[in-house]
Amino acid sequence: MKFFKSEKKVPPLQHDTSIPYAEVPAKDFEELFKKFKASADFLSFQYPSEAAFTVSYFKSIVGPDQVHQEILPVLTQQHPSTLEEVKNGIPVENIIISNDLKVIQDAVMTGSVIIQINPDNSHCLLVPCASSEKRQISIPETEFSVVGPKEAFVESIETNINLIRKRLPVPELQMKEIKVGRISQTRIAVLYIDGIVDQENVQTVIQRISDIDYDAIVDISFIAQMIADNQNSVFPQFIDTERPDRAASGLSEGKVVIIVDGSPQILTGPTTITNFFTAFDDYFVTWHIASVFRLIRVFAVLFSIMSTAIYVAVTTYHYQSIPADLLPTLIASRGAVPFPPILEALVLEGTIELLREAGARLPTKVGQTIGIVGGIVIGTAAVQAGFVSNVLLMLTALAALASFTTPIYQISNTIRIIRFPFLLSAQLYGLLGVAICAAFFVCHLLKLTSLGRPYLEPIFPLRVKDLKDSFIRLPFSSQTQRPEILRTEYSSRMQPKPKEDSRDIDE
Amino acid sequence: MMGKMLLVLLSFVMLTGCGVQDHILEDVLLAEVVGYDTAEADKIKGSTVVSVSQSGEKSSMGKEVYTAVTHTDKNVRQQIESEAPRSLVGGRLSAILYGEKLARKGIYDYVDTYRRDPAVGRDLYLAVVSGKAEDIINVESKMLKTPGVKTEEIIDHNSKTHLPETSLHSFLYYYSGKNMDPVLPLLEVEQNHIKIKGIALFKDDTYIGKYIKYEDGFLFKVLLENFKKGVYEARIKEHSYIAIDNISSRVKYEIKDGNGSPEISIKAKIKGGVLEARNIELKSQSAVTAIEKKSEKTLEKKLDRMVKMFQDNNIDPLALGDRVRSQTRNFDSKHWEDVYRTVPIKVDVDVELVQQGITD
Amino acid sequence: MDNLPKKNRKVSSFFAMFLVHKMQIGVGLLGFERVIAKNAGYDAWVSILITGFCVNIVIWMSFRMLHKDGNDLISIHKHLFGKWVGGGLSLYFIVYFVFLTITILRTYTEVIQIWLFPGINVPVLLIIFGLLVYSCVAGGFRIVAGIAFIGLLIGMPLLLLKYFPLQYANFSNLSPVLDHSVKDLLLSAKAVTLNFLGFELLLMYYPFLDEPRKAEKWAQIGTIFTTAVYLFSAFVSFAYYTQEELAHSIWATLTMWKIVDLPFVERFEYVGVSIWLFEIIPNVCLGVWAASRGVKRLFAVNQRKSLLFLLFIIILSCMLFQTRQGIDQLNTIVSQVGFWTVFIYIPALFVYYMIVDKVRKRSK
Repeated sequence: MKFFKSEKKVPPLQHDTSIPYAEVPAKDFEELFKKFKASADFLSFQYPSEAAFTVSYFKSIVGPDQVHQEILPVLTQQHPSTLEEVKNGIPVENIIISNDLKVIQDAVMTGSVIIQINPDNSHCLLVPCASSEKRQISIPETEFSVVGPKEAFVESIETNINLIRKRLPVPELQMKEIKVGRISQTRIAVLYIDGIVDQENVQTVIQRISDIDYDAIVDISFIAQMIADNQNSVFPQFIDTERPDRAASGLSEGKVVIIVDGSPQILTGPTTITNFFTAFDDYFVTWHIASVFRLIRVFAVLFSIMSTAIYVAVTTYHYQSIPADLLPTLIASRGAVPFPPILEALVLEGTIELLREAGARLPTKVGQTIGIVGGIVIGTAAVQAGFVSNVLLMLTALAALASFTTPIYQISNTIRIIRFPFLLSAQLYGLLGVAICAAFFVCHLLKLTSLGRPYLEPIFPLRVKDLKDSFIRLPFSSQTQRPEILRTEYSSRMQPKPKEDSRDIDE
Repeated sequence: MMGKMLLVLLSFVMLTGCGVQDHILEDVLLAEVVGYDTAEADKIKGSTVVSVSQSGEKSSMGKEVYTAVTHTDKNVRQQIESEAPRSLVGGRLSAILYGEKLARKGIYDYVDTYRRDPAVGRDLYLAVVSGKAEDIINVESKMLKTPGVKTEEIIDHNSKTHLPETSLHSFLYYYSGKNMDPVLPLLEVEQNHIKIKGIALFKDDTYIGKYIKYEDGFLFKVLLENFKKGVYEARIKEHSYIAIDNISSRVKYEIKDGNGSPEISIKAKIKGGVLEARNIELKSQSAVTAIEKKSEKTLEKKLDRMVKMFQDNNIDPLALGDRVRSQTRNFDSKHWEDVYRTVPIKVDVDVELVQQGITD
Repeated sequence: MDNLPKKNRKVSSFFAMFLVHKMQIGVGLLGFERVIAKNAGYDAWVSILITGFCVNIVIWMSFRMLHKDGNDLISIHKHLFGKWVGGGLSLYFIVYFVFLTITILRTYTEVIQIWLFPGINVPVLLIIFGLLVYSCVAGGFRIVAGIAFIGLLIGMPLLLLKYFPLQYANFSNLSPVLDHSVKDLLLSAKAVTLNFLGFELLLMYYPFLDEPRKAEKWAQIGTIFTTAVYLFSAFVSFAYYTQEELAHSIWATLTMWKIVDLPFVERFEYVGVSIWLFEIIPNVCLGVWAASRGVKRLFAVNQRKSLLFLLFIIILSCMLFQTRQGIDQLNTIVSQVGFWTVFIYIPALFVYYMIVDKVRKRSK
């Protein structure tokens, strides 16, 4: 019975010295320079004359204008004799003089210019003049909304923080920065509003991020997977968003925001499953409309997961349960199909997934259109050829459509995948199989946590107050408290208005 | 980790060995109507209509008839399987028919098998066929123009107006309950059409050979339950008839001295509209009152005769015994059975014509 | 005060209602009518009220003891009878919980066998259930409480389906009211016991309730709710069947689902039996949890191990009962044993506890 044990014995961490990157600095200056010079874009020259200064930098990450206008003129015009004098002459902040090889290497690799006085080359003056290419702020694509702000995050961490600070101009909005990744040295920022956020959440996030040991963190999705409470769950445990407004609203609720340099998405947490059915435009329309939309989304998701499974269960085992008026239609459409329902369903679901995957790989949104058109053509042909029944075709197409209604991309992937276990268990035990599969998922969801907070909240543990902004959205006047799940230090959002006595008619 | 993998592998191996028998929709024969008749030498003849799927996009359902002659009901199914291309399932049965001769021998054995079978529903209809059940089966199998089972639809439609509820459940209810007897619709075939002839009367599970005519089914329903539909044509005078459209009919039973010498009075109140009034003036209030009085008399006479007939045959389709029980403490069922034939039963009908149509 | 659970392992007192109620509503609801109508006929609804009320009293007694002790039954036993006798009594309760679980699980698999898949491979099905239960119970008491709550959420709407049999209802079946002797009513009340069993698990999960003094109120409400559900179901079934027919209907409520005819689904029993899984799994989980917790407390073994061991035993014993008669017998025996445990032993324990408590106080 050993394999039932879930407490794993973690072996003591061994420091792996065979990795020759950042961890192990060069032995001496010559070796470091040799390493630099191995790259073709490393530039090192004597300026203004042979014996004066050596200026070196990676021309690919240094802004040439800054070098030409601010650094080189100082060397030629002011004739400094020490590095101190150079430092004072150059109008750039954060200049350091150092002979620490580690510092030098880090500075050079992030875009500093090294200035050395010949012949003594042990001390280096490091002038930061990095130039980074960045994209213009564009409109959100995966979380597009008709009304509301049209800004989306970009790959630059400064721009992203700027987009958030702009919306929350208070000093309580604080930020911690951590560098992660042995090779990539990725900058990761953790943002929160002090005084609202539960410090425990912040500590958890920082702790988990600092514990990451990986060579290259290329995107935020790496972080999302690495700091998830349960890394084997198909359910995303953080919301990733590209909308600064959503991030700002999350912060003001008391959530923690994680930003990774080089990634146009940010993470917010802790999160509950209901957050995934919340589109940010729900707050841009009146509460009745928002509530209806949310309920539609929940229904759509359930439909998307269950419909084909129920079709398989009913046509394979429970012919008794089909409504009398539907029976002839179903039998007629199934009559020509040579496969059992499960195979039929797998073929069709497979086709849809194929189209979806192909559509995602095509360059533009046109790709998706082509995918859908292709779906219709293939679908019609498949029905006419007698490969699948048209009832199932309709169900599958609807289910695919329904899975697109979720506002968060990550969860729509989850929905795509968890249909298949349902399908297989429907084949195994009919409706009972569907119920068993659902029970396994319910059990999994109950156990799941996000930053240690229960994932299924506000359903379990039942917090009636948090239901006001979950499957339904009540008007802003009833949203007086921040969600209980976040255990905020200061929970009230506004002064609730005193209740007015309802006046009589015509008073 | 290895352990977990092993577990997953093991469960897959297990799952392959635990399939359950499937009933893929188009790979079974769905029996729709089953009929039982007596056959020579103590055998019974069972026949069934099954719907057969026809492939193609716009196909309709075909229908086929299978028959078999054997000793017991379950054997019928077995025998039918011998000529069926796919397995026959009873989960969508909508009517079970019994030939007149069989019904007179008692039908409980042929009902019990369906009550036991978990696959069979409870809202299917039972009916007696005047003549042979097979005749209806044959007609049913030819009715292809509209989908659905005709027998079921006819009974379903009429049970709002002229028939009491006669599903498997109500048959079992009245059959198993003490001091009550079931009734079933009596069907017949007339010029290749299925038709309701009336209400077949039962003593326990045995058809007594008498029935209430279709027209009088309305009256029976008036006595049995409260309902809101139906039309009854009452004779007022020679050559003058009035058709009463029932808006609401309520019935009340008043019972005295259940364990001694019981007396029952049935009070029925019919609120109705006039649909058709041949040779009758309806202009004045007094004329309407007169007509109400007249039709009350006619109805009472008919109902008295009906109740008398029940008593004479010692059957209790109105569940009078049960009604007495429900109003009598420590009800003595034996005593009731002894006195039932002689219990004075008075029927009191109150007709109120509240609408006379949109013209006067 | 030995090893009380940590704060983050507890559930709010409010959940006592769901835990008590959920454990009482189980497979019994599908066919309890026949059993209770055996003696008191259609006056058996009075018996439901009697039993419900008695359960309220027993819950009150249990809470009196638990409040004083602060921990669970095992610590009460130890406190009153010492290590060996107390341990023996606790062991009896563990065995009793195991049997309760076996009854629930086996009866449900029987329903599946009869109504859904006659040819189903029962051992495989039981193993799948076992995996499901293990994965729930291994999550701890909070997860078990969660699954109970969600089971209730999913199961409650099924009560609305009583609308269909109500269309055929004949309420005159119920009259004349109270036409049976007191003895018959009490015999029926005893037969009702099986359906109310399960609340005594609170003797085990008491320390897991946050603010247990508030929980008492919720536990009482939960029982009242159970009584209401059974009362309602009994009324509908009594009005739908004649007494004679009900005597033949093993699964009265399930049979009533046959007439459900919604526009999108007919013959609801197939859906219903499947959904009922969500009513069964929490009960099995709670039962196994209580038993494995008991083993852990008694023998100081890892609860994971005791859980696996108990599940193994439960699944094996479920396979032993093959026939309807066997399962019926199991139900009867557990009902009897449960009756004695709940209505005789616990009140006796209560009285003894109070006496001992008084004596000890005085001697101080």
